[in-house]
Amino acid sequence: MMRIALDPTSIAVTTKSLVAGAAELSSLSARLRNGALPVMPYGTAAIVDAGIQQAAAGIHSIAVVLVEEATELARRVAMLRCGVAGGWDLTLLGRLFGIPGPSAGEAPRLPREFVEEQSIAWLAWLSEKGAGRLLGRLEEVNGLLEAAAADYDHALELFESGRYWDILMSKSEGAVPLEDFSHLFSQSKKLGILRTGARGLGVLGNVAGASLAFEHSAARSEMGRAFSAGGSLIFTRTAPLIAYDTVTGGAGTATADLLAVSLESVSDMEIELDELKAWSDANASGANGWMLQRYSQLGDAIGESDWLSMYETDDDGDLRLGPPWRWFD
Amino acid sequence: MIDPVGDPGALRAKADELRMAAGALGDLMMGLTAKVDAMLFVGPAGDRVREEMRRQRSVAQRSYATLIEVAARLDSTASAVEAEIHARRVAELRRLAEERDGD
Repeated sequence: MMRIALDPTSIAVTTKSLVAGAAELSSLSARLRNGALPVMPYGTAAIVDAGIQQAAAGIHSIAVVLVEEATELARRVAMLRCGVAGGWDLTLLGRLFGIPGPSAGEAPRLPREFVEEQSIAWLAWLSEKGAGRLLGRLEEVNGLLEAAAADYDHALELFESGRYWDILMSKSEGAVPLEDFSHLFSQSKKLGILRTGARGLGVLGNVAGASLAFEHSAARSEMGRAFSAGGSLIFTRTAPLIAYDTVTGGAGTATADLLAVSLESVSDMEIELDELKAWSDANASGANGWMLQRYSQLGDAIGESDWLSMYETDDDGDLRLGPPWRWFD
Repeated sequence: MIDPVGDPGALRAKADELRMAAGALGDLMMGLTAKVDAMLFVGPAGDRVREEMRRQRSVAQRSYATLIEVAARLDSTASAVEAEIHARRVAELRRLAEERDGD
């Protein structure tokens, strides 16, 4: 059985070391490349210069590779810490990696490494936050993922059947009904931010058996009423969800933000939701820098006890990870 | 008579500079490799990073060897220039002595 272990903090520390090392190597390479040669016989000078330039080029190439590796590690850790790797995010994350998602009639194709790493990531999350702080539901999901990583063929069967959620849920004790997808959010004390439009919701609909799209649809109509009444917290038909919405788009491209917050988190989140309303307002005016700051602050606020993931759709309607988090500041 | 080309002191200083650069490179790569090896990341991606680090250490070893080799060449060039300067001084002194004896 595959051994799975990682420590996001350890990876983050190593990432910083690689970046710092790459900077030193780059500087060393530049000093060598640009350093003046003393006077010497012409033939010797040519040989010496060629040697130094060769060594400098080699050192520079190392710096480039280290930066690439550091970037990759940073991306992985950022995703871990964003909690992107939860069970229900597998297919979405697949899209982040460029793996075709489950559009209509199409099953996701997940390579072995991807499956393994999702399990690793999920374990890392549990490890980082302490499994005891998560509810049993997530531990069960984790167990399924771990099993999926250990049995790749079975995992592929799950994913490619296009019925991942059905199978996942049916294998959980006291399974959460698929149509009550949103309940999983409350079980996990998860704050999920979904920033997407109709096409992104279509993708999600496929992933979640259309339940989220349903939620969104319900939420939007209720949101409209609530906003007109000056409210910002919406209890949708499935009570655990609290939705917060803002419409930012132009004609025909209305975009909505949906926040799914656990009931357990409501009291803690009220202030942050005010912040998020301001964030949404800023979003509408395109104040990206301010948005990023708010994302970061929100992440800090949620920090130890909750789980936040965020996606948005690009112009093609593909899901991708939202703006970067400042885990390395 | 043409003076020997080269400043032995400057050549040796450059050689020392290159050896220091090689040493810094070696220390840096050793430290980075140790950090990557110590990183708790068991899995395919972790293995891949460590393997890439080993490859880069090989690249660094080649650059290290090149720098040491170039430094050695600079040292030998400095020695050769010094020998040439010494030989010319000896020849010059001998010529002066012969001139004096001839007078």
